[in-house]
Amino acid sequence: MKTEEELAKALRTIAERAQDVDLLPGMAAKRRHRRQRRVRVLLASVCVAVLGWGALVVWPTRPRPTVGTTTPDKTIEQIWPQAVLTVPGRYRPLAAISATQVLVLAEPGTIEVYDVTTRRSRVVATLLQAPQSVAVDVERVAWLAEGYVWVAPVRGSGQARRVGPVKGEAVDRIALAGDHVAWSSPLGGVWRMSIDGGVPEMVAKSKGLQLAAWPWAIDEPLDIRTNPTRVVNLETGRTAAITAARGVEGLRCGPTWCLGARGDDSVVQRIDGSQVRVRRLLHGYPSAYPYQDRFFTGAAMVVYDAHADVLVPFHTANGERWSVGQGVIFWPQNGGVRVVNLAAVPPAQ
Amino acid sequence: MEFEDFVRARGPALLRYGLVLTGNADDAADLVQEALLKLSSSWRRVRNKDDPEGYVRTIMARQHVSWWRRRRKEQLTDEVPAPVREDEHDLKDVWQRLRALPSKQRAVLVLRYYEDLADDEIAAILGISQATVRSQASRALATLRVRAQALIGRWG
Repeated sequence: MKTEEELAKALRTIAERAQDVDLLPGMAAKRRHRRQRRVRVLLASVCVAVLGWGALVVWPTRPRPTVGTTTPDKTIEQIWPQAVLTVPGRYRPLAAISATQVLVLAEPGTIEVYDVTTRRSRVVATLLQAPQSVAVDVERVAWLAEGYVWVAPVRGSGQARRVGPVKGEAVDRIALAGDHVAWSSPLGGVWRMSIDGGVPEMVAKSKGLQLAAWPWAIDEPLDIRTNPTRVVNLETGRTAAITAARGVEGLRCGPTWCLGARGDDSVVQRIDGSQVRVRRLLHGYPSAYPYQDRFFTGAAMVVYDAHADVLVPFHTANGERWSVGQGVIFWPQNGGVRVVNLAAVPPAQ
Repeated sequence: MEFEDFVRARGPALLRYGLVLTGNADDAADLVQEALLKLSSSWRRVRNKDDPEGYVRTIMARQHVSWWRRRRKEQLTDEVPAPVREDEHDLKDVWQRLRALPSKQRAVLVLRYYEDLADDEIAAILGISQATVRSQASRALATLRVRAQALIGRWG
Protein backbone atom coordinates (compact mmCIF):
# COMPACT_ATOMS: atom_id res chain seq x y z
CA MET A 1 0.00 0.00 0.00
CA LYS A 2 1.48 3.29 -1.01
CA THR A 3 -1.03 6.09 -1.01
CA GLU A 4 -3.51 7.81 1.22
CA GLU A 5 -6.24 7.06 -1.31
CA GLU A 6 -5.55 3.36 -0.92
CA LEU A 7 -5.74 3.69 2.86
CA ALA A 8 -9.09 5.49 2.60
CA LYS A 9 -10.37 2.79 0.27
CA ALA A 10 -9.18 0.03 2.61
CA LEU A 11 -10.98 1.68 5.53
CA ARG A 12 -14.20 1.94 3.55
CA THR A 13 -13.93 -1.68 2.41
CA ILE A 14 -13.38 -2.90 5.95
CA ALA A 15 -16.17 -0.72 7.35
CA GLU A 16 -18.65 -2.14 4.85
CA ARG A 17 -18.04 -5.58 6.31
CA ALA A 18 -19.27 -4.62 9.77
CA GLN A 19 -22.03 -6.99 10.78
CA ASP A 20 -25.36 -5.67 11.88
CA VAL A 21 -25.95 -6.15 15.56
CA ASP A 22 -29.17 -5.43 17.40
CA LEU A 23 -27.75 -2.80 19.71
CA LEU A 24 -30.72 -2.27 22.01
CA PRO A 25 -30.56 -5.58 23.97
CA GLY A 26 -26.84 -5.06 24.60
CA MET A 27 -27.52 -1.59 25.91
CA ALA A 28 -30.17 -2.92 28.27
CA ALA A 29 -27.67 -5.48 29.58
CA LYS A 30 -25.09 -2.77 30.12
CA ARG A 31 -27.62 -0.71 32.07
CA ARG A 32 -28.31 -3.69 34.37
CA HIS A 33 -24.60 -4.34 34.82
CA ARG A 34 -24.03 -0.72 35.79
CA ARG A 35 -26.76 -0.79 38.41
CA GLN A 36 -25.15 -3.93 39.93
CA ARG A 37 -21.72 -2.31 39.85
CA ARG A 38 -23.02 0.81 41.59
CA VAL A 39 -24.33 -1.44 44.35
CA ARG A 40 -20.91 -3.13 44.68
CA VAL A 41 -19.09 0.21 44.83
CA LEU A 42 -21.53 1.38 47.46
CA LEU A 43 -20.87 -1.80 49.47
CA ALA A 44 -17.14 -1.31 49.15
CA SER A 45 -17.32 2.23 50.38
CA VAL A 46 -19.36 1.06 53.35
CA CYS A 47 -16.59 -1.50 54.11
CA VAL A 48 -14.00 1.26 53.91
CA ALA A 49 -16.01 3.45 56.23
CA VAL A 50 -16.53 0.69 58.74
CA LEU A 51 -13.29 -1.30 58.57
CA GLY A 52 -10.86 1.22 57.18
CA TRP A 53 -9.21 -1.35 54.92
CA GLY A 54 -12.23 -3.33 53.81
CA ALA A 55 -12.11 -2.49 50.11
CA LEU A 56 -8.66 -3.97 49.75
CA VAL A 57 -9.87 -7.24 51.19
CA VAL A 58 -12.98 -7.41 49.04
CA TRP A 59 -11.41 -6.50 45.70
CA PRO A 60 -7.67 -6.98 45.71
CA THR A 61 -5.91 -5.55 42.67
CA ARG A 62 -3.69 -7.69 40.50
CA PRO A 63 -0.02 -7.49 41.55
CA ARG A 64 2.12 -5.44 39.18
CA PRO A 65 5.59 -6.49 38.02
CA THR A 66 8.56 -4.78 39.54
CA VAL A 67 9.20 -1.75 37.43
CA GLY A 68 12.44 0.14 37.13
CA THR A 69 12.23 3.89 37.45
CA THR A 70 15.67 4.93 36.35
CA THR A 71 14.45 8.27 35.11
CA PRO A 72 16.69 11.01 36.34
CA ASP A 73 15.19 14.30 37.45
CA LYS A 74 17.71 16.12 35.31
CA THR A 75 16.99 17.39 31.82
CA ILE A 76 18.60 16.04 28.67
CA GLU A 77 20.65 19.24 28.47
CA GLN A 78 22.16 18.42 31.86
CA ILE A 79 22.72 14.71 31.20
CA TRP A 80 24.04 14.91 27.63
CA PRO A 81 25.03 18.58 27.21
CA GLN A 82 27.28 17.82 24.25
CA ALA A 83 24.42 16.14 22.39
CA VAL A 84 21.89 18.99 22.39
CA LEU A 85 22.12 21.89 19.99
CA THR A 86 19.96 24.41 18.19
CA VAL A 87 20.12 24.84 14.42
CA PRO A 88 18.42 27.54 12.34
CA GLY A 89 14.72 27.01 11.69
CA ARG A 90 15.16 26.39 7.97
CA TYR A 91 16.83 23.05 8.65
CA ARG A 92 15.22 19.71 9.19
CA PRO A 93 17.68 17.21 10.68
CA LEU A 94 17.86 13.92 8.79
CA ALA A 95 20.61 11.91 10.48
CA ALA A 96 23.51 12.04 12.88
CA ILE A 97 26.87 11.76 11.12
CA SER A 98 29.28 12.19 14.04
CA ALA A 99 29.53 13.95 17.40
CA THR A 100 29.98 17.26 15.59
CA GLN A 101 28.09 16.81 12.31
CA VAL A 102 24.42 16.46 11.52
CA LEU A 103 22.92 15.87 8.09
CA VAL A 104 20.09 18.30 7.44
CA LEU A 105 17.53 19.04 4.78
CA ALA A 106 17.27 22.73 3.96
CA GLU A 107 14.57 24.60 2.13
CA PRO A 108 14.03 24.78 -0.75
CA GLY A 109 15.81 21.52 -1.53
CA THR A 110 19.38 20.88 -0.50
CA ILE A 111 21.01 18.27 1.69
CA GLU A 112 23.64 19.90 3.87
CA VAL A 113 26.11 18.95 6.58
CA TYR A 114 25.75 21.14 9.67
CA ASP A 115 28.90 21.49 11.72
CA VAL A 116 28.13 21.85 15.41
CA THR A 117 31.43 23.52 16.30
CA THR A 118 31.48 26.18 13.57
CA ARG A 119 27.68 26.48 13.41
CA ARG A 120 27.89 26.52 9.65
CA SER A 121 26.53 24.21 7.03
CA ARG A 122 27.82 23.08 3.69
CA VAL A 123 25.72 21.95 0.74
CA VAL A 124 26.27 18.29 -0.13
CA ALA A 125 23.69 17.97 -2.86
CA THR A 126 20.89 19.88 -4.50
CA LEU A 127 17.77 17.77 -4.69
CA LEU A 128 15.68 17.22 -7.76
CA GLN A 129 13.13 15.10 -5.91
CA ALA A 130 12.19 14.79 -2.28
CA PRO A 131 14.19 12.10 -0.46
CA GLN A 132 12.20 9.24 1.02
CA SER A 133 14.87 7.47 3.04
CA VAL A 134 18.40 8.56 3.84
CA ALA A 135 21.62 6.80 4.86
CA VAL A 136 24.88 8.46 5.78
CA ASP A 137 28.36 7.53 6.95
CA VAL A 138 31.46 9.67 7.32
CA GLU A 139 32.15 9.47 3.57
CA ARG A 140 28.87 9.38 1.70
CA VAL A 141 25.22 10.24 1.76
CA ALA A 142 22.71 8.08 -0.07
CA TRP A 143 18.99 8.57 -0.40
CA LEU A 144 16.04 7.02 -2.13
CA ALA A 145 13.90 9.13 -4.44
CA GLU A 146 11.37 8.03 -7.01
CA GLY A 147 12.72 4.51 -7.34
CA TYR A 148 16.39 5.43 -7.64
CA VAL A 149 19.30 5.81 -5.24
CA TRP A 150 21.24 9.05 -5.22
CA VAL A 151 24.77 9.09 -3.84
CA ALA A 152 26.91 12.10 -2.94
CA PRO A 153 30.20 12.42 -1.03
CA VAL A 154 29.80 14.09 2.38
CA ARG A 155 32.67 16.41 1.45
CA GLY A 156 31.15 17.10 -1.93
CA SER A 157 29.72 20.30 -3.25
CA GLY A 158 26.32 19.83 -4.70
CA GLN A 159 26.71 17.02 -7.21
CA ALA A 160 24.85 13.78 -6.65
CA ARG A 161 24.87 10.71 -8.83
CA ARG A 162 21.77 8.71 -9.61
CA VAL A 163 22.11 4.93 -9.62
CA GLY A 164 19.52 2.23 -10.00
CA PRO A 165 16.66 1.72 -10.38
CA VAL A 166 16.21 -0.10 -7.08
CA LYS A 167 14.43 -3.44 -7.03
CA GLY A 168 11.70 -4.45 -4.65
CA GLU A 169 8.18 -3.37 -3.78
CA ALA A 170 7.78 -0.44 -1.36
CA VAL A 171 11.48 -0.05 -0.57
CA ASP A 172 11.69 1.92 2.65
CA ARG A 173 15.13 1.36 4.20
CA ILE A 174 18.53 2.16 2.81
CA ALA A 175 22.05 1.71 4.17
CA LEU A 176 25.60 2.33 3.08
CA ALA A 177 27.72 -0.80 3.03
CA GLY A 178 31.27 0.14 2.10
CA ASP A 179 31.35 0.52 -1.68
CA HIS A 180 27.77 -0.64 -1.94
CA VAL A 181 24.41 0.77 -1.14
CA ALA A 182 21.86 -1.66 0.32
CA TRP A 183 18.11 -1.37 0.62
CA SER A 184 15.17 -3.45 1.75
CA SER A 185 11.41 -3.56 1.59
CA PRO A 186 9.03 -5.11 4.11
CA LEU A 187 8.61 -8.30 2.09
CA GLY A 188 11.31 -8.10 -0.57
CA GLY A 189 14.52 -9.01 1.26
CA VAL A 190 17.74 -7.01 1.14
CA TRP A 191 19.33 -5.90 -2.13
CA ARG A 192 22.57 -4.16 -2.87
CA MET A 193 24.33 -2.44 -5.71
CA SER A 194 27.70 -0.79 -6.19
CA ILE A 195 27.63 2.93 -5.48
CA ASP A 196 28.91 3.32 -9.03
CA GLY A 197 25.77 1.64 -10.32
CA GLY A 198 25.53 -1.73 -12.00
CA VAL A 199 23.11 -4.56 -11.51
CA PRO A 200 21.27 -4.86 -8.20
CA GLU A 201 21.76 -8.22 -6.49
CA MET A 202 19.83 -9.79 -3.68
CA VAL A 203 22.04 -10.22 -0.63
CA ALA A 204 22.56 -13.91 0.17
CA LYS A 205 20.36 -15.30 2.94
CA SER A 206 18.37 -12.09 3.14
CA LYS A 207 15.00 -13.42 2.01
CA GLY A 208 12.34 -12.30 4.46
CA LEU A 209 14.69 -9.86 6.18
CA GLN A 210 14.65 -6.10 6.50
CA LEU A 211 17.65 -3.88 7.03
CA ALA A 212 18.48 -2.68 10.49
CA ALA A 213 21.88 -0.97 10.66
CA TRP A 214 24.25 -2.52 8.10
CA PRO A 215 25.39 -5.33 8.21
CA TRP A 216 22.48 -6.35 10.38
CA ALA A 217 19.09 -7.39 9.08
CA ILE A 218 16.10 -8.76 10.91
CA ASP A 219 12.96 -10.73 10.02
CA GLU A 220 10.80 -7.89 11.26
CA PRO A 221 7.13 -8.84 10.88
CA LEU A 222 4.59 -6.54 9.28
CA ASP A 223 2.31 -6.70 12.29
CA ILE A 224 3.94 -4.44 14.85
CA ARG A 225 2.75 -6.68 17.70
CA THR A 226 4.47 -9.77 16.36
CA ASN A 227 8.01 -10.66 17.39
CA PRO A 228 10.87 -11.21 14.96
CA THR A 229 12.80 -14.47 15.31
CA ARG A 230 16.31 -13.76 14.09
CA VAL A 231 18.96 -11.13 13.49
CA VAL A 232 21.40 -11.85 10.68
CA ASN A 233 24.82 -10.38 9.96
CA LEU A 234 24.68 -10.12 6.17
CA GLU A 235 28.45 -9.90 5.86
CA THR A 236 29.29 -13.02 7.81
CA GLY A 237 26.00 -14.89 7.55
CA ARG A 238 25.96 -15.35 11.32
CA THR A 239 22.42 -15.64 12.62
CA ALA A 240 21.33 -14.96 16.18
CA ALA A 241 17.97 -16.24 17.38
CA ILE A 242 15.64 -13.81 19.12
CA THR A 243 13.86 -15.10 22.20
CA ALA A 244 11.10 -12.90 23.53
CA ALA A 245 10.83 -12.66 27.30
CA ARG A 246 7.56 -14.08 28.61
CA GLY A 247 4.54 -12.13 27.40
CA VAL A 248 6.54 -9.57 25.44
CA GLU A 249 5.21 -8.61 22.02
CA GLY A 250 6.23 -6.37 19.16
CA LEU A 251 9.97 -6.66 19.77
CA ARG A 252 12.20 -4.55 17.58
CA CYS A 253 15.87 -5.37 17.89
CA GLY A 254 19.40 -4.47 17.03
CA PRO A 255 22.10 -7.13 17.20
CA THR A 256 22.09 -7.02 21.03
CA TRP A 257 19.11 -5.17 22.46
CA CYS A 258 15.36 -5.30 21.86
CA LEU A 259 12.40 -3.20 22.92
CA GLY A 260 8.87 -4.56 23.05
CA ALA A 261 5.65 -4.28 24.99
CA ARG A 262 3.97 -6.36 27.67
CA GLY A 263 0.50 -5.03 28.31
CA ASP A 264 0.91 -1.38 29.11
CA ASP A 265 4.59 -1.72 29.91
CA SER A 266 7.56 -1.24 27.63
CA VAL A 267 10.13 -3.97 28.07
CA VAL A 268 13.80 -3.86 27.15
CA GLN A 269 15.67 -7.16 26.85
CA ARG A 270 18.70 -8.72 25.23
CA ILE A 271 17.92 -10.72 22.10
CA ASP A 272 18.32 -13.99 24.00
CA GLY A 273 15.52 -12.96 26.39
CA SER A 274 17.83 -12.12 29.29
CA GLN A 275 18.29 -8.87 31.25
CA VAL A 276 14.60 -8.02 31.09
CA ARG A 277 13.89 -4.47 32.19
CA VAL A 278 10.42 -2.98 32.42
CA ARG A 279 10.63 0.68 31.48
CA ARG A 280 7.09 1.93 31.53
CA LEU A 281 7.88 5.50 30.57
CA LEU A 282 8.88 4.58 27.02
CA HIS A 283 5.20 3.94 26.14
CA GLY A 284 3.92 2.04 23.18
CA TYR A 285 5.58 -0.09 20.59
CA PRO A 286 8.99 0.79 19.20
CA SER A 287 8.91 2.02 15.64
CA ALA A 288 12.18 0.46 14.54
CA TYR A 289 15.55 -0.91 15.57
CA PRO A 290 17.70 0.99 18.10
CA TYR A 291 20.21 3.56 16.93
CA GLN A 292 23.76 2.23 17.42
CA ASP A 293 22.22 -0.87 19.05
CA ARG A 294 21.87 1.37 22.07
CA PHE A 295 19.26 4.16 21.92
CA PHE A 296 15.52 3.50 21.82
CA THR A 297 12.75 6.02 21.38
CA GLY A 298 9.09 5.29 22.00
CA ALA A 299 5.86 7.23 21.89
CA ALA A 300 6.85 9.43 24.85
CA MET A 301 9.37 12.23 25.15
CA VAL A 302 12.15 10.05 26.42
CA VAL A 303 15.26 8.32 25.08
CA TYR A 304 16.36 5.02 26.57
CA ASP A 305 20.08 4.31 26.66
CA ALA A 306 20.39 0.52 26.88
CA HIS A 307 24.11 0.63 27.65
CA ALA A 308 23.71 2.90 30.68
CA ASP A 309 20.19 1.61 31.50
CA VAL A 310 18.90 5.12 31.83
CA LEU A 311 15.80 6.91 30.58
CA VAL A 312 16.55 10.45 29.54
CA PRO A 313 13.51 12.72 29.20
CA PHE A 314 13.38 15.62 26.80
CA HIS A 315 10.89 18.43 26.72
CA THR A 316 9.61 20.08 23.60
CA ALA A 317 8.52 23.66 23.54
CA ASN A 318 4.92 23.02 22.56
CA GLY A 319 3.73 19.68 23.78
CA GLU A 320 4.07 16.56 21.71
CA ARG A 321 5.38 17.80 18.42
CA TRP A 322 8.75 16.23 17.75
CA SER A 323 10.30 14.15 15.02
CA VAL A 324 12.93 11.46 14.83
CA GLY A 325 15.61 10.79 12.23
CA GLN A 326 18.54 8.39 12.33
CA GLY A 327 20.22 9.22 15.61
CA VAL A 328 18.48 12.58 15.83
CA ILE A 329 15.42 13.81 17.69
CA PHE A 330 14.25 17.35 17.02
CA TRP A 331 11.51 19.89 17.50
CA PRO A 332 10.89 23.56 16.71
CA GLN A 333 11.93 25.92 19.47
CA ASN A 334 12.03 29.74 19.51
CA GLY A 335 12.23 30.01 15.75
CA GLY A 336 15.04 27.47 15.52
CA VAL A 337 15.17 23.69 15.69
CA ARG A 338 16.33 22.00 18.87
CA VAL A 339 18.28 18.82 18.05
CA VAL A 340 19.43 15.86 20.12
CA ASN A 341 22.39 14.31 18.29
CA LEU A 342 22.72 10.80 19.71
CA ALA A 343 26.07 10.32 17.95
CA ALA A 344 27.44 12.89 20.43
CA VAL A 345 26.43 10.93 23.52
CA PRO A 346 29.62 9.61 25.14
CA PRO A 347 30.06 5.90 25.80
CA ALA A 348 28.26 4.67 28.92
CA GLN A 349 30.40 4.43 32.03
CA MET B 1 -37.63 10.85 16.53
CA GLU B 2 -37.58 8.45 19.45
CA PHE B 3 -34.25 7.20 20.76
CA GLU B 4 -34.93 3.57 19.75
CA ASP B 5 -35.76 4.66 16.21
CA PHE B 6 -32.51 6.57 16.02
CA VAL B 7 -30.57 3.48 17.17
CA ARG B 8 -32.27 1.26 14.58
CA ALA B 9 -31.78 3.79 11.78
CA ARG B 10 -28.20 4.77 12.45
CA GLY B 11 -26.87 1.68 14.25
CA PRO B 12 -25.37 0.03 11.15
CA ALA B 13 -23.46 3.20 10.18
CA LEU B 14 -22.19 3.59 13.73
CA LEU B 15 -21.07 -0.03 13.75
CA ARG B 16 -19.11 0.53 10.56
CA TYR B 17 -17.42 3.54 12.13
CA GLY B 18 -16.83 1.57 15.32
CA LEU B 19 -15.23 -1.29 13.42
CA VAL B 20 -12.59 0.87 11.76
CA LEU B 21 -12.00 2.75 15.02
CA THR B 22 -11.53 -0.28 17.25
CA GLY B 23 -10.31 -2.87 14.75
CA ASN B 24 -12.57 -5.52 16.20
CA ALA B 25 -16.28 -6.33 15.74
CA ASP B 26 -16.90 -7.05 19.43
CA ASP B 27 -15.23 -3.86 20.58
CA ALA B 28 -17.07 -1.93 17.88
CA ALA B 29 -20.45 -3.08 19.22
CA ASP B 30 -19.29 -2.36 22.75
CA LEU B 31 -18.13 1.12 21.84
CA VAL B 32 -21.32 1.97 19.95
CA GLN B 33 -23.46 0.74 22.84
CA GLU B 34 -21.49 2.72 25.42
CA ALA B 35 -21.75 5.86 23.31
CA LEU B 36 -25.47 5.32 22.76
CA LEU B 37 -26.00 4.86 26.49
CA LYS B 38 -24.44 8.26 27.00
CA LEU B 39 -26.66 9.68 24.27
CA SER B 40 -29.78 8.11 25.78
CA SER B 41 -29.26 9.90 29.06
CA SER B 42 -29.29 13.24 27.26
CA TRP B 43 -31.53 12.31 24.34
CA ARG B 44 -34.24 14.84 25.10
CA ARG B 45 -31.71 17.64 24.95
CA VAL B 46 -29.66 16.35 22.04
CA ARG B 47 -32.45 15.22 19.71
CA ASN B 48 -33.54 18.80 19.21
CA LYS B 49 -30.10 19.72 18.01
CA ASP B 50 -29.07 19.27 14.42
CA ASP B 51 -26.71 16.38 14.72
CA PRO B 52 -27.20 13.68 17.37
CA GLU B 53 -25.15 11.31 15.22
CA GLY B 54 -22.20 13.69 15.25
CA TYR B 55 -22.53 13.81 19.00
CA VAL B 56 -22.35 9.99 19.20
CA ARG B 57 -19.41 9.82 16.82
CA THR B 58 -17.49 12.34 18.90
CA ILE B 59 -18.19 10.33 22.04
CA MET B 60 -17.05 7.18 20.27
CA ALA B 61 -13.75 8.70 19.10
CA ARG B 62 -12.95 10.07 22.56
CA GLN B 63 -14.08 6.94 24.38
CA HIS B 64 -12.02 4.77 22.08
CA VAL B 65 -8.85 6.77 22.77
CA SER B 66 -9.36 6.71 26.53
CA TRP B 67 -10.33 3.04 26.64
CA TRP B 68 -7.63 1.55 24.63
CA ARG B 69 -4.71 1.49 27.03
CA ARG B 70 -6.84 -0.11 29.70
CA ARG B 71 -8.24 -2.74 27.38
CA ARG B 72 -5.26 -3.59 25.24
CA LYS B 73 -4.41 -6.78 27.11
CA GLU B 74 -7.81 -8.20 26.33
CA GLN B 75 -7.56 -7.23 22.70
CA LEU B 76 -4.23 -8.90 22.30
CA THR B 77 -5.57 -12.25 23.32
CA ASP B 78 -9.04 -12.05 21.83
CA GLU B 79 -9.65 -14.08 18.73
CA VAL B 80 -12.45 -12.28 16.97
CA PRO B 81 -13.19 -13.21 13.36
CA ALA B 82 -11.54 -10.65 11.08
CA PRO B 83 -13.56 -8.93 8.36
CA VAL B 84 -10.73 -9.66 5.94
CA ARG B 85 -10.20 -12.94 4.12
CA GLU B 86 -6.90 -14.80 4.25
CA ASP B 87 -6.33 -14.40 0.53
CA GLU B 88 -6.79 -10.61 0.58
CA HIS B 89 -3.14 -10.00 1.23
CA ASP B 90 -2.97 -6.23 0.83
CA LEU B 91 -6.14 -5.57 2.78
CA LYS B 92 -5.10 -8.01 5.50
CA ASP B 93 -1.77 -6.27 5.82
CA VAL B 94 -3.46 -2.87 6.25
CA TRP B 95 -5.96 -4.32 8.68
CA GLN B 96 -3.30 -5.92 10.87
CA ARG B 97 -1.29 -2.75 10.97
CA LEU B 98 -4.30 -0.58 11.69
CA ARG B 99 -5.32 -2.85 14.55
CA ALA B 100 -1.87 -2.63 16.05
CA LEU B 101 -1.70 1.17 16.00
CA PRO B 102 -2.00 3.08 19.28
CA SER B 103 -5.57 4.25 19.75
CA LYS B 104 -4.97 7.94 19.22
CA GLN B 105 -3.07 7.35 16.01
CA ARG B 106 -5.78 5.07 14.67
CA ALA B 107 -8.51 7.53 15.65
CA VAL B 108 -6.70 10.31 13.80
CA LEU B 109 -6.38 8.17 10.66
CA VAL B 110 -10.02 7.09 10.80
CA LEU B 111 -11.22 10.65 11.27
CA ARG B 112 -9.00 11.89 8.47
CA TYR B 113 -9.38 9.14 5.89
CA TYR B 114 -12.72 7.51 6.74
CA GLU B 115 -14.68 10.45 8.11
CA ASP B 116 -12.84 12.77 5.71
CA LEU B 117 -12.39 15.50 8.32
CA ALA B 118 -9.88 18.33 8.28
CA ASP B 119 -7.14 18.47 10.90
CA ASP B 120 -8.83 21.31 12.82
CA GLU B 121 -12.05 19.29 13.05
CA ILE B 122 -10.12 16.21 14.21
CA ALA B 123 -8.33 18.33 16.82
CA ALA B 124 -11.67 19.61 18.14
CA ILE B 125 -13.21 16.14 18.33
CA LEU B 126 -10.27 14.54 20.13
CA GLY B 127 -9.50 17.57 22.28
CA ILE B 128 -5.89 17.81 21.08
CA SER B 129 -3.89 20.40 19.17
CA GLN B 130 -3.64 20.43 15.39
CA ALA B 131 0.10 19.90 15.75
CA THR B 132 -0.63 16.71 17.68
CA VAL B 133 -3.08 15.61 14.98
CA ARG B 134 -0.36 16.06 12.38
CA SER B 135 2.32 14.31 14.41
CA GLN B 136 0.02 11.38 15.26
CA ALA B 137 -1.05 11.04 11.63
CA SER B 138 2.52 11.19 10.45
CA ARG B 139 3.64 8.51 12.86
CA ALA B 140 0.68 6.30 12.02
CA LEU B 141 1.28 6.66 8.29
CA ALA B 142 4.92 5.79 8.81
CA THR B 143 3.90 2.64 10.66
CA LEU B 144 1.48 1.76 7.89
CA ARG B 145 4.19 2.69 5.42
CA VAL B 146 1.81 4.89 3.53
CA ARG B 147 3.72 7.35 1.50
CA ALA B 148 1.68 10.42 2.39
CA GLN B 149 4.19 12.89 1.10
CA ALA B 150 7.90 12.83 0.79
CA LEU B 151 10.08 13.98 3.67
CA ILE B 152 10.00 17.64 2.75
CA GLY B 153 6.26 17.87 2.90
CA ARG B 154 5.82 16.32 6.33
CA TRP B 155 7.55 19.04 8.26
CA GLY B 156 5.09 21.22 10.10
